[in-house]
Amino acid sequence: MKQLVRVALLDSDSDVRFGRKMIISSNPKFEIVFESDGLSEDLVAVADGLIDVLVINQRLASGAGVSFYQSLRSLVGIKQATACVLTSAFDQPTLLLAALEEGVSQVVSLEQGPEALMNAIAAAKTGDQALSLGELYSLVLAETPSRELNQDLLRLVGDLPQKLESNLRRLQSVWKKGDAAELENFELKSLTGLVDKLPVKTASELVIRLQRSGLLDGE
Amino acid sequence: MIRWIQRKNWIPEILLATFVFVVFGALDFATQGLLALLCSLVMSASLLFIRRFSFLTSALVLIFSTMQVSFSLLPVFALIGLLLVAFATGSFSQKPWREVNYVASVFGGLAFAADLAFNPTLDLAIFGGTIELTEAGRALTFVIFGLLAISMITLMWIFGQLLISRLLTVGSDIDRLAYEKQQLALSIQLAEQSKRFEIAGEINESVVQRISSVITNAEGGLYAAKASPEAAVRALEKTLSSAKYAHADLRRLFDMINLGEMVSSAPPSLEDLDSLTIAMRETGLDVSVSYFGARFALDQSAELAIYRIIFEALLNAKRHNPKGTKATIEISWLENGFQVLVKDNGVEVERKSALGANGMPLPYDVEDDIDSLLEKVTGPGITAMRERAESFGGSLEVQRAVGVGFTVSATFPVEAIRAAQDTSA
Repeated sequence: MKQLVRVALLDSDSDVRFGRKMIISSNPKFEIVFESDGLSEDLVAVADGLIDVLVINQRLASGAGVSFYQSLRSLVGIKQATACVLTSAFDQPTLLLAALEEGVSQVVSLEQGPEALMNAIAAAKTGDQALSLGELYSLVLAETPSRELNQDLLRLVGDLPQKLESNLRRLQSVWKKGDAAELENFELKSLTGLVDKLPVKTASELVIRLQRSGLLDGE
Repeated sequence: MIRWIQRKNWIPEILLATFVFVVFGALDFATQGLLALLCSLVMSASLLFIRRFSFLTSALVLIFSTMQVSFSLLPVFALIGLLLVAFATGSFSQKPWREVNYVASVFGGLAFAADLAFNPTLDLAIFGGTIELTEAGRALTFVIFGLLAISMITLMWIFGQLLISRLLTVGSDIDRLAYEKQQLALSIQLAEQSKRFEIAGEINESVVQRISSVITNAEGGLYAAKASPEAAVRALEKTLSSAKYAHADLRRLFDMINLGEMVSSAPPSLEDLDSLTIAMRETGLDVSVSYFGARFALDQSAELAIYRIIFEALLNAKRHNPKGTKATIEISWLENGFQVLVKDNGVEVERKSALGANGMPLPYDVEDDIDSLLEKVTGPGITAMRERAESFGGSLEVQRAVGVGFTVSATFPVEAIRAAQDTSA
């Protein structure tokens, strides 16, 4: 028998939570083990490791959902933080980029419907990426995040073993060319080794942080 | 200098006329003798009456022109005085003499052109010979010099008007006060707009939340209905409840947007009343402020509304009353509330300026008393002030004090306007 996906549901609006709970509970593979309106105190509750996927709304009682997840990562560590699905009312590219940069696995808006939420929870559990490299490329170019040198990341990239370094060079080459077909065909899963070695949670986070540090476009 | 000219009644004219007479009179006397000097004297005299008895300026310019032609003089140096007349007239003469004197100057210029072109006795020997002109040449000379004279006189007249406008109004105190008044009104409007925008933003967020709830509950209901009809009913109830809340929020948003103009720079507060009274005083309404009672901090929105009520009341007092009207602002922090009184004495000032048959100021009678008791003072400005007061649980009354003026009274309950963090009083 397959193990249930244990879900924690955080949303400041109890009515919305009620609806989401019904949607998620309708899938027999998911089990809601915790729900709250997202107070700071909930950080401890969701950090205990008994939860598989966090479904947090961008609007929480303690503030923004992305900030809540940031705090959780600071509390338990980047790698140890539970996989997260961020929900919002609307599709917002800026929010999507900010969330992916903070290691959120999936971002789902109300506009995408309940199936998208369930798929996102399943994808977060398995570690699938929210976007392809082509979509990430378009998002980053459209949002033009400012440069932010991450010294820690730069140092670790400098110390990468040869195999991972060649992975990175391949990514850099594809990114620099900007060819749509090549970007689309690039397997983000091939970056798993890099993700494990560097202080990031997901491949999307890795790509965005490398780009922000100027390591992708060679600036 | 312009202020000095404005303050002195005759001295500037006398100085200018003397200067013209001394300089051009001497030149005319030296070149053409006594008759030319006489012409210069008349020309100079015309400058004496630019501001007062301006008809004399016109008359003297016409006399000067006639004399010049009659005496068959060469164009005299005093003709330059015509340009000065046009310039000074444009600057200082009042309507309609500004225009009449301009016409007289143009006439003088045309007389000069005609004198030059058609006077058969004109003797040019003084310049070393006699100029012989054909009829066509004379006509052409008249047209050319006539147009030249008209152009120069017109230019000087327009230049005089532009210069005086620039000196008196552009960048002057009047301009500054008008600008400050406009700035005050704009800062209030801006403050109101951003406040409204802020509230609209909050309501909008709430609506988004409610609609999100409606959608998720409807979707949840659809999923749950397959397994448990009871759960679907609960979802429907939640959906309905959220939809009602969303509807109520939308109504608030609708009201907010349709309320009119509104506010987020630092909004004006009661601390700014001193600046307001100075601005009002300098534009003609003598305003004084008095404060009573133990102060407590006011909610920012309420303070803005109170400031706006005072501002409107003062504008009304200024707009509807004669010069010399005084207004007083009385602000009272009461035990259970807050009161603002704005009183003016416009009616009293008006009565004092209108004399009755006996030469005394008009008295007020019983009818005035009854009118003041029954009269309901209305108007869009008052409605707006009342709405502002009512939005903070207050009330606003406007009454006419018989024989004195109008009183605007706004009162507010303390709990509605006291700042949330205030613990004083």
